[in-house]
Parts: sequence; structure tokens; C-alpha cells
Amino acid sequence: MNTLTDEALMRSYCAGDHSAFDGLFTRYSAAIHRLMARNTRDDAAADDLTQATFLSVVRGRGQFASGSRFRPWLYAIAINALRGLHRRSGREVVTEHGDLPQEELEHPALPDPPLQRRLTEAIERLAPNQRTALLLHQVDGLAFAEIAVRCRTTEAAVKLRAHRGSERLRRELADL
Amino acid sequence: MKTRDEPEAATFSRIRRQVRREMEAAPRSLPWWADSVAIGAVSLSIATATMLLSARGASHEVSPLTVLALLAATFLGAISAIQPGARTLRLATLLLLAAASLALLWTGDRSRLSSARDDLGCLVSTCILGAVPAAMALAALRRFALDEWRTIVGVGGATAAAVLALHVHCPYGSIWHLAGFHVLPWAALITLGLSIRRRLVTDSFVP
Repeated sequence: MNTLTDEALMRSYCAGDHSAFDGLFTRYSAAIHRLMARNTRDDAAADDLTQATFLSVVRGRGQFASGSRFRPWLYAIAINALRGLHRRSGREVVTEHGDLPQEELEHPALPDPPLQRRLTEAIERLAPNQRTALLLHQVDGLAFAEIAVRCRTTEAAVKLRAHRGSERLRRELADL
Repeated sequence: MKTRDEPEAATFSRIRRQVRREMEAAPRSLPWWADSVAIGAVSLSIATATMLLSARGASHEVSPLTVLALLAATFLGAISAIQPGARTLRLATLLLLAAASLALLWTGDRSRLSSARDDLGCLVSTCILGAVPAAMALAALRRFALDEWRTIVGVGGATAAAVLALHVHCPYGSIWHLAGFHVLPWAALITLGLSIRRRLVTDSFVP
């Protein structure tokens, strides 16, 4: 099971092999929970959104297009679930252009609070599209192509944004 | 100490149990086009039944192009609202809906007038004939994350057949009648559908 690709597992699951879903859940549940926790700063909401994401995978498996990649699809579901939560609560979590909000900057605490503050402030100063590309790539481990699909842009544009973002961070934090 | 990023294993076990219950409740999933077929079939059935049962015929010119545009909007609306991806098809459907609206007005007669009672009859008919297909489209759209464009083409396509049935049987061909009591109620149904969809609980957040 571990050697199978996400897409092979998803195909098996869509074909009726429920154990294939466990493989996908094991691979992605922690990452999705982290994404939710960063964005909500609320354990209960993160649990609920993680559950909503995987329930959506189950309910929407008929909509998974064969030939498409699983991970961008899963993250698109997760972001939609976040949007749904924040729409209900009157806050928009992701901008129209798929950029992540300020809450996304709230990473798990670094051991050094002043360092964390400087890092957070430096990330805050990045352009929203650079921040999105950088965080999804560096923190969530998404490939540039996957980020491009979610942000509805090209892979080259995402790479450029992430590169510019990291260059700017490097300059701002050069004295550390 | 457990941080937010390291939830307890019990959390994942609980989520996994909940998902398993869902899988057991619905072990098989229908293909995406099942909803499209159902919405298209109901829209066309209602429109066809209305046309067969109504003895009246349109007094104004019924352009074959208008009929084709409305039929195409019905089919494409049912497909593009539900099909995964399909952004280009949704845009094409949106343009088709706009073109069909203009085509409806194009066939209007500038000289003819209708009474308030006639006008009200067409308005009510549009709403009644379009209500069930629109409700079906909204129910199907709950299985997707909220997407305004999906909703517009879904409800617009589902109600296009009702507009067609009304158009070929309406004896009042004034352009103002067509604009105010055929096209405007159609637009109002789409707007209402959008408003309802925003308030409906989303069943699944798939894109």
C-alpha cells in the first residue's frame, strides 16, 4: 500500500476498495490538520475542518477526474472547507486570488520568541502571492505544479513568486 | 506538550471512524453525470409536458435559433454546472444563456401590447415551470463547494427549458412583455437560486 501513488490509491478507492482510503488518510490527515490549525488557531475547528475535508473526499469521489492529481484536489477541498467556515463566520480566509490570510502566518511557536516575531513580520511584509507560494511550498510541502493548479496560475509564475519571496526574506533576515 | 500541529491520535481515530461510517452509509458513488442527466431530463420533461398540454401557440415569431439556444443552454447548463473542472464549458454556457436572452428579445414585436393579467400569467408560469428543475440543480450543487458560476449556469440551464416552453406558447409577443415577464423572471430565478445556494449548507467541498 505504501508504494502505491496517491492517484492509484484514489482509483482503488473509487473502484470500491475502502482500505485504499485509509492509505490516503494516513498520508494526509496530519498535513491537512496542520493547515487547518494554522488557519483557525482553534483545535476544535481544525478537527472539524479536517473531518469535513475527508468526508468531502468520500462524498465527492465521483467528481475526482481520472488522470488528475490527488494532492492538489485534496488541498483545494481543504481550502474550500476553510472558506466555508470563514464565510459562515463573516471572515474570508483566502482571497479571491487564492492567497492565504494573515492567520496563515501564525506558525507553531519557534523556540525563540523574538526570532519568531521577526520572521512573522518579515513574512507579513511579503506580497500576498509570494507569501502563498512560499508557505504552501515550504510549510505544506506542495509541489509548484500543485500550487499552480490551486492558485489558477502557471507553474513558472508560482516558482517566480516563491523565489522572490524567499529572496526578500533572505535580505530582511540577513543579520540573523 | 501537544501543540496544535500534533493532535492526539484519538482525534484522527475519531475522524477516521466518522469517515468510515460515511463510507458504509454510501458504499457506492454515482458518476458526476448522473445529476446532469436527472436535471436535464426533468427540465425537458416539464417543458415538453407543458407544450403538449397547452393548446395555445405563439403569435410572435419563434426563431429556430432561439429554440436551439434555449435547448443548448438546458443541456450545457446541466453538464457544465456539475462536471468536474469544465471552466471553459461554464463560460461558454454563460455566454449561451446571455445569447439566448438576447435572442428571445430579438423576436419580440414592438407594436403589440399585453394586459397586466397576461403579463402576470407568464411570470407565474416561468416561476412554476422552473421551480422544480432549479431546486434539483441547487440540491446537486450542494455536493460542491460554493461556486457562483456553477450556480448561475446550473440554475440558468435548469430553468431554460421552462422559458422555452413558455416562449413557444405565449400568445403575447410584445418585446416589453418578453423582457419583463419571460427574461426578467428567468434572471430573477437565477438570482434567487444564487441567494439560496449561499444559504444552503454545503455537503461536500470538492472544487
